[in-house]
Amino acid sequence: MAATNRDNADDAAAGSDRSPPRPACDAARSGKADTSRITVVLVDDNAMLADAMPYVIRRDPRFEWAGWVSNGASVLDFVRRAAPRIVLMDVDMPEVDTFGLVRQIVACCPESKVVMFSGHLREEYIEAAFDAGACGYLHKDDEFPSLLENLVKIQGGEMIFIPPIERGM
Amino acid sequence: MNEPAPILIVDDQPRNLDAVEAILQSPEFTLVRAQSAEEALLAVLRHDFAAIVLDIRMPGVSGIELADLIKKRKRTQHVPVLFLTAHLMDEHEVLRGYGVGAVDYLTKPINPQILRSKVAVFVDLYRKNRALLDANRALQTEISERLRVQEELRRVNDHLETMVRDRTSDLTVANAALRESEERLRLAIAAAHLLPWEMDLSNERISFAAEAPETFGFAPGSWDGPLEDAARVVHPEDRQAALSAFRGIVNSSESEYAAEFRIVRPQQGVAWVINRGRIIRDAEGRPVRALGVLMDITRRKQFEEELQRHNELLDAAVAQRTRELRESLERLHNSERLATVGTLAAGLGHDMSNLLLPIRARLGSLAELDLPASAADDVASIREAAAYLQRLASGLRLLAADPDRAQEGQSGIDLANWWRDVEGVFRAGLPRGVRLEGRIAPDLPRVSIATSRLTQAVFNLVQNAGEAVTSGHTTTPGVIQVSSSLATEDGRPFVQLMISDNGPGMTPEIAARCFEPYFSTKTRVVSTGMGLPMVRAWVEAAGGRVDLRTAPGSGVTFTLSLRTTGETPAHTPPRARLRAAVSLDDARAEGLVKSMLTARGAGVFNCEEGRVPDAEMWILGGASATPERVIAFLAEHPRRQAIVLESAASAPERPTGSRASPEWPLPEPGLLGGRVQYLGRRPTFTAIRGALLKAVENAESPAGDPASEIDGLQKDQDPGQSTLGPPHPGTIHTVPPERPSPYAATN
Repeated sequence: MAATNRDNADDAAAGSDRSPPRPACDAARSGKADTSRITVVLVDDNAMLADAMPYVIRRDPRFEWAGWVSNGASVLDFVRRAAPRIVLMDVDMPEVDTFGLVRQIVACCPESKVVMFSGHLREEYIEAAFDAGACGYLHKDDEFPSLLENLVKIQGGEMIFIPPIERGM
Repeated sequence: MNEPAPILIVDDQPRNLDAVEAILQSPEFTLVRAQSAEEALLAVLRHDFAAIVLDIRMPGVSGIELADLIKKRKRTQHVPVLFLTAHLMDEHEVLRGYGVGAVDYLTKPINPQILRSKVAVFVDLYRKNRALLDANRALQTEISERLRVQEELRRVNDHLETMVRDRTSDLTVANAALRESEERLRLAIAAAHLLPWEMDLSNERISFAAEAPETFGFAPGSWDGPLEDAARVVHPEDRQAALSAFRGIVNSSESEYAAEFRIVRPQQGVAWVINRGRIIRDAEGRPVRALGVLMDITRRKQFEEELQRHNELLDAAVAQRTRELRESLERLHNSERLATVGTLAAGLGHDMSNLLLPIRARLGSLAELDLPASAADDVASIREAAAYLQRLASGLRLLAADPDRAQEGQSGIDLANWWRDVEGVFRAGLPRGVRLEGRIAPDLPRVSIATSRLTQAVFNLVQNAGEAVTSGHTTTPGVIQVSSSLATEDGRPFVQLMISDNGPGMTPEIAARCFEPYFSTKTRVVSTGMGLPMVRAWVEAAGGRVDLRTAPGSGVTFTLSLRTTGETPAHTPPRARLRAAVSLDDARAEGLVKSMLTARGAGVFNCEEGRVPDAEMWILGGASATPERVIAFLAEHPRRQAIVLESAASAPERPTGSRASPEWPLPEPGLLGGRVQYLGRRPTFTAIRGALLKAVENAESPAGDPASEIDGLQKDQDPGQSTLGPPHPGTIHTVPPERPSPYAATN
């Protein structure tokens, strides 16, 4: 997968910043990490989504944007360096063994909780996510406040996996 | 007259030869002269002599030596030899002459009379011998001829005897075969129910075998008589044809006659017969007699008719199957198209969501800024449009979901919310100019059906309605209404969802058949291919019902009566919530268990260390999970459920499943009605969810009350001791039925 030419993981982690509202890594921007905040890294190949997610995360003071990585190969390295509380991860990225990646993150960064963030509510994905060690499976269609509340709960130790059977699909 | 007998005269002196020759000159004799022994031997080889007159004294080979040689030849040994001597012979010479076989001798000078006499005697002897030989030879010939004839006779006799024997044998076999054949014929006639008849064609009088009329229930002999009379038993419809056919053959040159007709029996109705006959003609070809048999073929006719009926049924079935196959092929084609459309819809919904998320995110940020009023209005409008698009995306996904995999939501559908999601998609799928009106009450109880199925069912009905209202040449704008109402049937509440149109309606015939599989009309094509049968199947599978109200010219209304979950979205009543206690040392499992139970509407709380919780369900693991505590918990109430997880850290690991183990001397699942479930270490998502669903179902089911088992359990429980015997690790342990279980109820 080709990394996008702007705001990719390394740029974000390195603290490159441009004029608002273009998002970047909050910790890098501010120069210090706020340990009381829930730091979030997004793993997704969709650049438009990556552009927009900081708007959502930053609206809630409990959260802190820690950057975006689109390249499956760079994910481990980036997560290890950024040590986010939450890794928000797309399920269906081209040429990426998503659940293998989840296992690797869980093994190397036990402090980071992996949460799947997907447009697909497929039962086999949800099961595979839990079994790989993810702490949640959230839907991209959900309202943002609900998304953020669920992230808070997951950070607090809950598991949020709502399979289709519970959603009535 | 006899032939002259050959006489050999042997003497070395020609005058002696002349003298003897002169003496013996006679037509009775043929004289052969020889002057030496050699000449004599040659003559003997050439002729068969009647006698030899031999001079005894000759130079070289003497007469006696010559006689000896002659006598030694078999052929000449019996030829008499008469020695001639010129002087008196001594005794010795005479004896010698006789010794070699001489018959007589004469002393010279020869007395001609004596010589002639002696020779005549020899000749006579010779002749008699010859005659005897000839007779003997003739006799031998006669004998051998007789023998030959006798042999020939014997041979012919033998042959004759063999032939007679063979013929006799053939005849015996033929006789036996004939008897057997006659017997077989008799049996065959009896078995085939052949009934012979005979007719004198000079007066057309017929006579039947006695059993013929009896077979058909007539008196014996009642058919004998004129043909016209006998034919009265033939069915009136067949009579004339049968008679004409018979007489036609009689008057033609043909000889075989066959016809099938009916006989009207006195009882038992009509019988079918086949009548076969042969016309016998005289030398001029005039018909004289007719012989034939009648055969009852009623059963065969019945079989034929039945076969015919079956054939017709089979043909109809084949035609029907062919039609169904064609229809199902069309449906297959349709459903393939639908699957493609479904994939497209799902992808479209997904992409729309992906695009909408950043838009929603930015709009959310914009809304929080201090914008001028006009700009704020614009942002609000855009947000509304985005929300609509978001619902459209959700609706598309609901439409694309595989209905076969759809599962009913536990919490039910809030129809008002649902309608907001799907309305856009429904409207988008309608022909131009058709109006879709939704009137769904906001405070209806939740309905129990899978969201995707409800969506697809109603979409199907709305699509049908859309086609119906545009099918006729009408100027009235097409309107489709989707409305709701609350109804009660047998004391149970139902939510009714009505889909009505102002189209041309259905005829009673179409209305009666429109729910049949494969039924379709040209005026009301089930364009989605899912069809009304599927709509009905889905609604009925969820415990609901589909009704149709229609009349030509007054549109169609489908009413879906949907089962409710008993909850209204507006004010969820505090119904008896399932309480579940959780004490686990596996944080992930605990998180998932809590999340699932909460999503299902259960009240979830953590159980204090060392306590037995007051709950319907207890999910426990690690140090807190001891057999005593589990049994104490279960004993409290017969419907309580326990799920035991292996501690994330403990060892050794118990095998997953519902069973006891040495560390866990719990009774078999059967004894506790399956109220304990064991999960291993780090259970999978599927295992946890399966155990929870089962436990929830058990806790809520009004099944048999296992209280008696619990009573026994409480009384007999001895927690410190394994009473199940030594189970094998990794195997499922069962309690042998003959061994009294310590958990069995006792008094």
